[in-house]
Amino acid sequence: MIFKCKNCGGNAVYSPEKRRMICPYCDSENSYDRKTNANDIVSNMENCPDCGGTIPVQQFDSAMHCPYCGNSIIFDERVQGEYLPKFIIPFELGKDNCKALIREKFKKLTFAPADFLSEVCLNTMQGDYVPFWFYDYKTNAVFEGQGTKVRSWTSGSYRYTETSYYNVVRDMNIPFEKLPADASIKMPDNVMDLMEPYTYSKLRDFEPEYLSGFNAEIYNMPAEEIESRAKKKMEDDASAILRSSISGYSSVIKNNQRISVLDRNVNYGLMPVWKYVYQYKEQEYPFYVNGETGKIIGTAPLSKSKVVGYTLTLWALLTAILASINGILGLI
Amino acid sequence: MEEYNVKLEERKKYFHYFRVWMIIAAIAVCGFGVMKVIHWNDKDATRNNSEAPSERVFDYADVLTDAEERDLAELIEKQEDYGKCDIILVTINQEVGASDYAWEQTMMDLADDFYDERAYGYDQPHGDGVLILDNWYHMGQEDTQAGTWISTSGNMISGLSDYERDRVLDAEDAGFKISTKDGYARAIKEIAQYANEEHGGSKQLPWVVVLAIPVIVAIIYCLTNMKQKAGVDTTSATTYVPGGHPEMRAQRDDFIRKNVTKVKIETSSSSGSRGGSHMSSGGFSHGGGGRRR
Repeated sequence: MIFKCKNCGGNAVYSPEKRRMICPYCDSENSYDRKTNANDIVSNMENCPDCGGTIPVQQFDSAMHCPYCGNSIIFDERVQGEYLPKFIIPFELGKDNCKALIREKFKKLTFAPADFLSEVCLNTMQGDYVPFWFYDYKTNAVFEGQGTKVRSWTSGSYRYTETSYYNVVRDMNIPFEKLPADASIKMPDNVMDLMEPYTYSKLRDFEPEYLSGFNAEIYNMPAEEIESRAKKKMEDDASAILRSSISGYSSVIKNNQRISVLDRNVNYGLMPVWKYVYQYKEQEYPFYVNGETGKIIGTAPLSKSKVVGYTLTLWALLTAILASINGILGLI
Repeated sequence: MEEYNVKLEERKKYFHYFRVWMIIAAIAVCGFGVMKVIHWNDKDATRNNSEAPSERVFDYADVLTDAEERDLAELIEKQEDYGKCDIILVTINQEVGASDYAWEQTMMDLADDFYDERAYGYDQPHGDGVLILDNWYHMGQEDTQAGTWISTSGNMISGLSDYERDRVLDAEDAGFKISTKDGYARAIKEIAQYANEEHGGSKQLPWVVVLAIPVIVAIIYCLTNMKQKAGVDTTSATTYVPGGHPEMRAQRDDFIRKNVTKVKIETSSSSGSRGGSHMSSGGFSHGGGGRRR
């Protein structure tokens, strides 16, 4: 499907800044029609519904731009049925805001290559909706152990140390809601984990309009395949919550800890991520920006010539300053 | 064209980045140049005593070879220039008294008189100087009277007080473990160092330090600016727990037992030192102190 402006026929896209559909050609807002290809589903996937050009659609793509007319195409069959996301967080940061955030974060990076933050390079940034599985767990966490409290005091010429021993028990029900794990092969898991948290109050029911103007994927693997990641997060968090409930002891020895899952639920959703890939010395340096919070993940390349040049300059200047001052001190 | 602009921008950024450092460096270098011109004709203070003999090493105990004596004399010559004070080494092998009091008194008198009779002093006769009097009498035997007395004169009375004198004697003891000459050499260098400080010394930092600081700073700067973190985990254990609080079903902290231990507190004692200045039989003021071996 493709969204067309009622007024000029241009491709209507979702504007993160205005939080509505806009036409970038005539500036009209929320005035659009949905256009689908009249042919069957197979042809829908192969040809642009607007210009008819062949689309290089990949295995998991659910939204992309036509390489010929540039229009944003959403594949109907990949946003329906088993692939219909339960919810979505629409992009809140537009490309310009995102560029400003990247510039702010890396402006003090002295050794970055000269064109790293140039407008030309940053304009290659692309917005992607990344598929996530969200796991709900109702858990019961139990801790049993021994805690010690130590106090000491001095009386006369002796120092006394008193050690008290306690039996420590914690039993709590911990519900976890929407523990996320990305279901995209092309997105690195560690990066997507660092991209968290998203603000769940901004979750919306899925509407295909949100995808217009961005790339999107369907989940690349079933929920069961990646659940171990979510379970590990849940167990780590439950352990941390148990630990934080025990205080006032000099030391605590764990005798037993159980974390049981009482109930489980899983949902599929899409999260917004801006991706900027900077090419330097034939190597790619990807940067990911949370399209809702603006959190940036990625490391910039370092220009060897700048590292050497700046370091040697500092060394030379400092040497000149200290040597001159030392020389003056020797003359006084 | 774009490449040209990028390079031009980079050059501007480079000069902007180092502008403060460049200005400070320019001021420092110019300041040094001006000072150098002003002090062009200055000469270092030189020795101003023609009465005292040039000889500095008197090995009456014959514990040094001729070559060692020459080496020590050369060392003293250099160190005197550095410390701006006379340094005299006298070794003896004579009975000076078995009791501590007698030993100290006799060693002190011998050292002071030796200094006074030859009118040592760097700045003037009976001026700044240090005499090391080392006695080897019955060294290694039960009735030994071996030990070192250090007599100070002029500014070195205050320049070599109890603390500094102990450090000189420590250096000598450490050197004696290698050789007799090494013990004296270390003591001489230590005296010259304190003498240099007493005379205001050179306010200059050692050049090794001056050259090392920029290297260290540059390395730290380089590493700090190269270090990057891909991102930080901003989730907490309760990020995905609704309301942030789990339901506590049971919380128990049951006391089981306790035990008490006691340890006696050890006290320590400290030792003192002694020192001060006195008049020699020749009527000149001296300081000093010593240590028996």
